[in-house]
Order: sequence, then structure tokens, then C-alpha cells
Amino acid sequence: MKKTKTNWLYSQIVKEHFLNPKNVLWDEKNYRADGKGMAGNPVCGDIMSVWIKVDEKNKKIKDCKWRTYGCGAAIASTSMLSVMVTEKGGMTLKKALNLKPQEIVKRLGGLPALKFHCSVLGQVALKKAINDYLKKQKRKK
Amino acid sequence: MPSKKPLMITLKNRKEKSNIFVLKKKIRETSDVLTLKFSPIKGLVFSFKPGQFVLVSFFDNRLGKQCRAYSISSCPQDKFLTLTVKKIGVFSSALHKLKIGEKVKISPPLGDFYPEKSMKNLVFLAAGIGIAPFYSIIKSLYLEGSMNKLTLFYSNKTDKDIVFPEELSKLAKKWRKFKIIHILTQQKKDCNDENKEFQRLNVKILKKYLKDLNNKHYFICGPIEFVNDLWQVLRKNGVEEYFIKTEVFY
Amino acid sequence: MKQIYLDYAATTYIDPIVLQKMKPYLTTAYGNASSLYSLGREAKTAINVAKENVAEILETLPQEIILTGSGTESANLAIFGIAKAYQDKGNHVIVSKIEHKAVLESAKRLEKEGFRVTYLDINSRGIVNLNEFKKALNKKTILVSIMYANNEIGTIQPISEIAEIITKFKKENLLPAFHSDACQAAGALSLKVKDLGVDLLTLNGSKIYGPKGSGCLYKNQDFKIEPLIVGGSQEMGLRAGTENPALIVGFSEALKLAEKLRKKESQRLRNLRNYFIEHALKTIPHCRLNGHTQKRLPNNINLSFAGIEGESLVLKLDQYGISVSTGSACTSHDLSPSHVLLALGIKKELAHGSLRLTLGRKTIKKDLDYVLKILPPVVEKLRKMSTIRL
Repeated sequence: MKKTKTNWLYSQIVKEHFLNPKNVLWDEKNYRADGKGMAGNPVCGDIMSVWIKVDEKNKKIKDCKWRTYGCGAAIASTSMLSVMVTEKGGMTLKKALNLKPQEIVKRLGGLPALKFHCSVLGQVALKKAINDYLKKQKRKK
Repeated sequence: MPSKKPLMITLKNRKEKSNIFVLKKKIRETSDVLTLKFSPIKGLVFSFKPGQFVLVSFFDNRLGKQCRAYSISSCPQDKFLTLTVKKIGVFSSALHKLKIGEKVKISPPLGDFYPEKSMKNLVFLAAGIGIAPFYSIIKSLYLEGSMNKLTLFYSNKTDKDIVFPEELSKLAKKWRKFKIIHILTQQKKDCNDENKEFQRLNVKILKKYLKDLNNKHYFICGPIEFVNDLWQVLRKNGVEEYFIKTEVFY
Repeated sequence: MKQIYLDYAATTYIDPIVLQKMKPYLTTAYGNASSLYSLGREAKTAINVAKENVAEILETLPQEIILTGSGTESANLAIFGIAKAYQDKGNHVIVSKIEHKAVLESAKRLEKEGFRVTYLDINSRGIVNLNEFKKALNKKTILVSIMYANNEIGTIQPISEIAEIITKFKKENLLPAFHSDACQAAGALSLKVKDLGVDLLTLNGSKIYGPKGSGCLYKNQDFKIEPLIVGGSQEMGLRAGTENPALIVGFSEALKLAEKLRKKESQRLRNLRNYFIEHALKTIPHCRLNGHTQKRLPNNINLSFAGIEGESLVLKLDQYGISVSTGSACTSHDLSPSHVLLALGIKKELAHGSLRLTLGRKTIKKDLDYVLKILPPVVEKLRKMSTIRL
């Protein structure tokens, strides 16, 4: 991972995702999610909620929104995660379930070891959202 | 080859409350690692998949409402729920100080760090206390009479830091499909043992023992740097994301 | 974009007057104070004069001032110095839960070495519980260490009352010794040691517009201490090492200047502080002030904003040129939130969502108005992005 010199606390990519986060769910009331998941707890200092919309035919994630209570790295991690699962037509559920925090950290251009848990939490919230969707699908049948 | 069945990973209902467990036994593994054996106050240990972890928290206000995740080192068939804990920080120190008979809260099992039956050729990369989930998986697969081929690369600073050295070597002797390679990063080469390496785990060592990196399923568990490094190594050498699972201890 | 620095409690710039006084010792007057020739004696004189200046402000004797390299070093010297010197007389130490880490970590290390330590609670407004203190004192207590003013929430402890309690308790005995960390109090509160009733006092140059790497420990000559750093006989054998006259002169000149400006600056800053707090509480919902409103350093503002996390708030404000700090866990090495805020008894989430603003010599009302304009929408946006619904 190339470390770019920056006057900022984290990498430039993290800065971009922190200052201009992508896919934030500003308006919860009008969003009909196919699956929802939440991870973390306020005592430990980070909580993330992830909402997904799934294309029924090809089982790909077509939309992913989120909210985060947490530090700069936490916000950037969830933002990057939401981009990764929806870009290029969207990830299949299977691939998304195996999305690793390492992949998120690599896309972010690196995170200090102390902040690694932020990317882990994001992935946990995503997994819960996917499992929530799968459970709902099972009930429908 | 990816399975064509829809992937369903069952996690226990999040709304289930943590169960109360009592500490029944304490076993010293190394100078800073203890195995703690717990029993639920009511009924039997819940069922879980080997490789999963639980969230542990204390009753009193010791450490507030904080909880920490620990991989289960026992098998689903075992009588006790076992956690093998390395003393690193405040929380693990408190666990080390637990007395027999004291209670803790343990959540239902979480995580999906376990191999599917379809994964025939398994490679486990463990460092230090990262052996815990693998210990559970390896024993369970052996007890089930699994047909999987298993190679464990276990990295530690010196052989004094190896957790479960006898149990693992006994298993390797009994089970021909299971091979262990010990990686000792801070020990001088003191023997010409095959299956012992005296430098940090790298792609050369992996290729030496695995011959071909393809068509294998890799599971990596240990501290952040170890997991990230090896993940990078595997990816750089052509292993696809689908064939790698990681669990970081931090 | 204008840079608005509001983290004076972390460190300060070196005042130009102080820098001027330091310059000769960084250039031509480079002598070693222990040398016999004139260049050496020049350095020695500078150091002696510096000590006299410091002693005058503290209203004590120059030989009771030990020059050190930081506030942390002074605190370590006080605590380990007294503990080791008097360990045959007792093994009990009392500190407050909101001491600076330099004091707390020293106390924890003493515990590992067999000493017993009582960590006093504070009430919900950040003041030490005097009744609890009275109960904790016992025959084996050899040291009490309570900070004069806290660096995070700015609360001022009742030092002279604590000293009185100790005097009444110990009667004719020498022990326990009473140490106070006054790093944040310098420049805002009186440092007259006899009035305060302290036997040891820690000061730090980097908080009072002096150079970093400078500090001192006042030690009443009745007490002996074991040095931390041994070698040459500098500082009466209590702190070995070739002295740095530039830093020492910088420290004493900074302290002189701070004392000269103290009354006026304190008043000015107090007004600015109160102005900011009043407006912030009015314009931002779910916001609270941490610590006592009156018994507080004139320049300290510590607020908690429910629903958001401190580091993200600090980073956002940084984008607008505003420099502040937070007590959030995300910014600490062990991922635990500020021990001071936790000791106040506030919920962990509020500790995570805390912001500390500390004003200083260059702070003007215009700066605060700018912050008051920027802060509410930034807080609101972070709240909209947050998982916590208020």
C-alpha cells in the first residue's frame, strides 16, 4: 500500500470520504430497504447502520445506504464500503458476504492499525443487512 | 468451484439475551495464555459452528458495559465452552483474574469463520493466539471423520509461545491428512526439522509446503499486521478473494 | 483561510518577548554552567537569575526550585522522589481520579511496586470530594497529589482547604507531603506556595507561552526526595544533566510575563469564555457543559454534544481552520474515552462526543463568533449522518 504524504490525519482517500461521504441515508422515512443491519455499540464508540436494496433477479446489491456514529475513519469506512458493494453494477450477495475489512482498508489507501476495527464494524453491519434480507426472502416462500 | 446453492449463514437471533456462564476450570497454556472453561448456569452449552466467536462481558461494573469478542476454542461436542485468552490489555487481564465459580455473560455465537464441507483443501494461517478458532475447527473436523486435507502454518516468536503444542502434534500424528508447519520468527535455527521454519511466514515458505497456491481455501487469523500481510501476499500471488477468509484479533 | 487556534491547554506559542530573552543562549552564550571560565559563569548566572525570578513568583527560596525538562518529569520526580525517600515511613499515596496521566501512571507504577494508592472520586461538577479525602488519610500516608486545575474540564480544586485538612491531620509530623500539578493553573491563578499550603508544585513552560521541554518542581526544603536522573551534581544533585540556559531562561521569562498579565488576562478570557458558553448552549440543542461553571479556569470550555463523536467533529472544524481537541476514545491510544469525563459520571457516549476549546492570548471575540457560526451546522450535519436518534 503506497503511503502518500499528507498534511491530514489519514490518507487523501479517507479525507475525501469523510468530508464528502457517499450514500448517506439522510431521509430514513422514505427509504424502503430490502435488508437492514447494525453493528457496534455506543460504549465502544462506533455504531454503523447499513440499508440495502437487492435486485431479485440477479441477487446483486443495487443500492446501499448507511449512517454512522463514529470517528473520521468510521465514517470513511462505511462510505467506502457502500461504494464497493454498489459499483460496477453491484456485488453479488455471496461476494458481499465475503467482503473483507482488508479490502476496504486497501481501497481507503490504508488506515492506522488502531482504526482497523472501523472497517470490521462496517463489514459486520453489511453482513447483518444481507442476512436480514435473506431471512425475509425465506419467510416469503 | 463456487457452490450453486443460495448461501445461507444462520446467525442466532440478535435479540437473544446473553447467557450466564460460570467458570469451572482454568488451565495455563503459556506464560501469558490461559484456557478458561465455562458452563452455563442452566442447561447445556448452546450449539455453534467451530471457528465462531462470542462476546464476553462482566456482571459488575468492572470495565463498564464493555464486551470483547473471543473465539471459541472448544468443539461443539465438548462439555464446556472454552475460551483461550492471551493477557494483552485491561479486559483480558480481568478475565485472567476470574476465580472458579465466578460468572460472566456470554453472547450467542457469532461470525462465519468456518469451512464449508465443499472446501476440500484447507490452509490455515495462524499467529499467536490466532490459533484459538483453528483449534476448534481442527478438532471438530477430526472428530467428524472429515475427508478434508488440512495444512496449518502456525507462527510464533519462539516455541515457548506455541499454544496447544502437544495436542496439535498428537493430532498431526494420528491424522495423516493434517500437517503442521511451525514458524518461529525470533528463534535461532536449532534443528533441521522439516516442518519448522525460522523466519517470518512468506510466499516462499507457503509454496515450499503447498507446491501450488491454487485450489485451496485459506483461513487467516491473528493480529492485524499478520492477517493484512498474508492477505496481501495471497492476493498478489493470484489467489482470489473468494478463496480467502480472514479474522483479525485486535 | 484564517487559522483559529483554540487548544492553548495542549500547548502555546512562545511569546516574542520570551524568545528574545532566549536567543543569546542559543547562539553566543553557549557555555556549560558547570565550567569555571567566564562563558560558563555567564550561563550559571542566567540560571540563578531565572531561579530567583521563579522563586519570587512562588514566594519561596531559589534553592527550593528544581529545574526539569517538562511538567511530566516534575510530577514523576515529585511522586517517585517522595515515595522512595519515605517508603520506610509509610506506603500509602492519595491522588484524585482526574489527575494528569503523568501523575496517574506514576501512581499505578507505585502500586506495582507494593505501595497502596487511593484514587479519590470527584463529584458531578468535577471537584474532589473532601469528606472522602479526610477518610482516606491515615498514618501510613506519605504523599497526597491533587492537581490545582484540570487540563480537560478546567475545574479548580480547593488546594488550600486540602492543605488545611492535611495540616490538622499530621500535626507535628512531616508526612504526608502535599504535591500539586499546577501546569494549567500558571498564568491564571496565584502560585504562592505558602498560601496554597503545598510542599511540592509542578510547572510546565509549554503551557505559559514558554518553550517546550522546560519545567520546574518546587520542593519545600524540609522534604528530601530521591532523584530520577543521576550523574553530575546539577540542581543540587536532584536532576543531573547539563542545563539548557535557553530553556530555563525561556521558562522563567514566560512565567514572569504570565504573572504580570494574570489579572487582566484572566478577566478578559473569563468574559470571552462565558460569552461563548452562553451562546453555544443557546444555539445548539442537546449540548452540555462539562465541569463546574464557576470554579473553572478562565479559558476552559468543555462541551458534550449528544449523538456525535468527537474526532469527526474536530476534523470537520479543522477544515474551517479551527483547532480544538476532544476527549473521545477514538483519539486515545488504548481506545478508552477521557478518564476525566468518565470520572464526572457522564455517559460514555457523551464522553465520546466531547469538545474542548481553550482560549489564549491571541483569542479575540471575532474568533469565537466565527466558531459560533460554524459549529451549529457542523454538529447538525454530523447528527443527520449519525445512527443515534435524539
